[in-house]
Amino acid sequence: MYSRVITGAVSGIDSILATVEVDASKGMPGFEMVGQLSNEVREAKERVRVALKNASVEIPPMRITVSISPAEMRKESASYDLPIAVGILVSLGLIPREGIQDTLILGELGLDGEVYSVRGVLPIVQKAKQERVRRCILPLANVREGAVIGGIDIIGVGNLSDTIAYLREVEERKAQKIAPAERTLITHLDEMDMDVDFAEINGQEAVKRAVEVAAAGFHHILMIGPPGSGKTMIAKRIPAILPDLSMEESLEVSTIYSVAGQLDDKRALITRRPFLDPHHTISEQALAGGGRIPKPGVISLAHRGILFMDELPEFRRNTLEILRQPLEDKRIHIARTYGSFIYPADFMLVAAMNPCPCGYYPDRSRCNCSDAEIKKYLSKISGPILDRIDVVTEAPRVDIHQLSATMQNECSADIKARVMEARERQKYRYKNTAYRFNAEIGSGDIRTYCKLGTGEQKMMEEVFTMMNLSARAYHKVIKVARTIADLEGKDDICTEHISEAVCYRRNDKDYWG
Amino acid sequence: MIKIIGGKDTIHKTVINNEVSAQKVYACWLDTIYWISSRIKYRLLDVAGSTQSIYQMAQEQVEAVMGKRGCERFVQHREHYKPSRVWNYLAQSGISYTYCQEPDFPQKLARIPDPPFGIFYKGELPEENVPAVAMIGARKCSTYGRCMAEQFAAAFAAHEVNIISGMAMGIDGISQAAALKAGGRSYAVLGCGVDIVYPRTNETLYQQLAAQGGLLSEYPPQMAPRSSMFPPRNRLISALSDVVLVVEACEKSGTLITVDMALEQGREVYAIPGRCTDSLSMGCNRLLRQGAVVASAPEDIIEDMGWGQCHTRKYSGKTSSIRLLETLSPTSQEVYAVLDVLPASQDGIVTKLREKNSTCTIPQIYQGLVELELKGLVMSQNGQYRIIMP
Repeated sequence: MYSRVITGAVSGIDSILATVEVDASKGMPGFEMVGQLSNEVREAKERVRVALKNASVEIPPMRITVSISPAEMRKESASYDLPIAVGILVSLGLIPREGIQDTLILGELGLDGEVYSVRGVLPIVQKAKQERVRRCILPLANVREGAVIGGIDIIGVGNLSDTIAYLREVEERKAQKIAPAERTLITHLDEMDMDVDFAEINGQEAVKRAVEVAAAGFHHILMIGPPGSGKTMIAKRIPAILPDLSMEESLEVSTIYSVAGQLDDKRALITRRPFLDPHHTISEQALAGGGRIPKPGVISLAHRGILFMDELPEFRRNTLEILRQPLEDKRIHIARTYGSFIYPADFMLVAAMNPCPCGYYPDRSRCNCSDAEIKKYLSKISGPILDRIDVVTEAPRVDIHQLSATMQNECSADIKARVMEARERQKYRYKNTAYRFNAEIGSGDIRTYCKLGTGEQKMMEEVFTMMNLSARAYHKVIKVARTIADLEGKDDICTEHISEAVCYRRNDKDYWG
Repeated sequence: MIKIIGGKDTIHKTVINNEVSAQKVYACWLDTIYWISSRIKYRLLDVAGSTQSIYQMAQEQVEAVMGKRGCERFVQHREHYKPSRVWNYLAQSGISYTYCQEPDFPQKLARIPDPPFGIFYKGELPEENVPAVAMIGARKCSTYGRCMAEQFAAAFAAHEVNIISGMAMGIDGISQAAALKAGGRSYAVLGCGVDIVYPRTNETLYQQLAAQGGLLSEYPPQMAPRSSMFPPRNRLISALSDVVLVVEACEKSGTLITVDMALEQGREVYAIPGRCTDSLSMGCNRLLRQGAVVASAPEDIIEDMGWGQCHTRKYSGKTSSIRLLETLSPTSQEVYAVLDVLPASQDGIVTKLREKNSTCTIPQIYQGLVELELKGLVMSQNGQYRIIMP
């Protein structure tokens, strides 16, 4: 007898619906599996056989053939276990054929019949809904993740016996057996997000302002300063002033996390902007993504959020150069043996570094680095990377009086309110375009969106000559000025906005010449 | 060792063409023997009478002055290198030479306790009657030291005072570059051959010095720098100047060697005071305690030395900048008031303004800074701002 079960597979960040076909016929007893399978899928044979036995299902000596299609795609993941088991049961007539009508099944099996969680549930369920599948049978641990989508029945199963019982039930009584999971939007709160606030940072007003500007326009930012000047502290607080993710963005980010296998029962949906701070020893693979079984890298996990790179010059040069494409195209293209994948990587780069190897330059009473050493240190950041950073700010050493003083500092919520307003203005301005933030404006559209008055134009010319700016730097100053104007709630860019933007360019020119 | 290009014995032709006395060519030959100290060279000259006779000296005579080992090396050298080849090499490399018996040999050098025998130079020799200040200091200088060096050097250049220094990293190079930028003349005494750029990062300065001053050395061309060669060269820096100005120095600094030499040669020693907590000002402050003169402004030195009248200049500059300030926005004036010649970071400026209970917002402060910078009142270096002295 022949049966067909719908299941899903992840390919890159996208998902497709796959089919598990099972045929059980008379002949030489055996178990054959075809369809370009990786080892873990091949091993399903043993898991399924033992799991069925332990669920008290006797498999008669028959010739069982399993084919997973589409055949041209390589299958890797243990999520085919449960659909294979169900397929066999249908073929043997132990489950009625109607029971699996329009039903997607996913899950890995343990030998005792337990159903384990799998990765990529979110995009698969999303795809299933598009393809008009009515019901998804998922591992219990993935139920909340699947339930995020809505408009499709999500049935969580803990073990094989429950699954069989559920599928055998007549349609009317199924809901009594296992009720479809309710669509609850679980707010996942990152522990670090809530317990830190900008109000805790004394001094560093200039840096805080720079960060506010960067956050408002989604500009990449670089903070330069001696050790202990609070660069990391400030960076950790940036997520708190960024606008919350919209539902659409949240699904987008969650999809990446789902594919990376980082969603679970406790964290079914990413609702906060991601904050990732890879250590500087990170490998190129881990940063960009990939691997034999491709998974999104750190830059993709930071999609729509913040990628914080502390001690930027300590990262290996090759690792840093990887950032070039994502910083420009907002995605990364990875080609590996089993195909090439495109992962989204639209993050805000927040980088921090010391001004010299010892960290104290230009304070010569503490810094003993030679000019050549400083130059070499700075040159680890290549021009192209530096070119893509819009805001460069300096975090000076904080003196002890400031640290110990109890100051009335602005809290994150107040800053966030201003950032939100600036974002609203950008949303309105770019409503019919692909742009979302000022940082994204192409050089061709600068004239359209960042109009300068004659006074401002004259000032830009003066500044341009004084600072000996490049064309790219010129555009960056204008883009940042646009964001500053948005923060102030102004439609036109004024000289004061340009002045401030120039100051964020100043630092980078001074250090790198 | 010296590499010599071109071989033929063309000594007479050279002599006639450039009106160079044969004696000078022989002196030059003698001076390229780097391992003979200048004191011995003078003794050889005493014994032989002229440089040409030194070249032709009998072995016994040489041995009497330099000892057996020295004599052997001398004779060997005499066989390998002909004076004409040495001279032609210098001429081809654009290097000039003068020695103690020539009229153009700087008298300031001749009058010190341990005078050099001769001087190799590129560009020109400093003019005898033009006042000169040696500006010296730490290689790894602070921003304060940098500012002071630039400010003093520019002022000296404006008063046509030459700057003598060692073209080293830090204070030396900064002072010389600033003097040249202000249109002045500057001379570097090197601790290596004059055709070697050391440190390499000062390549541009080296070229400028050759054009707008000179590069001097008592060491023969092609001689690589060695640590033992720098202290003796320091005596020439102080010798060539009337005043030695220590801009910034640590407690134990090579700069202090130059100061010792200067005192021995009877030069005035000035030091720029610093805060007593700054390790880079320890050397200067100590010198001041020991009796060096406080250099609080370049005009002080110029007046003390009687090199010119500075009153008019000093005040006219200030009034013009005050007048310029009055045309600026109130915020810019407020920002200018907290700025200093000592560089301050953007955040430091904000803090200072807050301490003064200013209500300026950060964007306003930035606007002020850019306005001041565009007006040329303030400059930025390494992300830090400071006043440009009028």
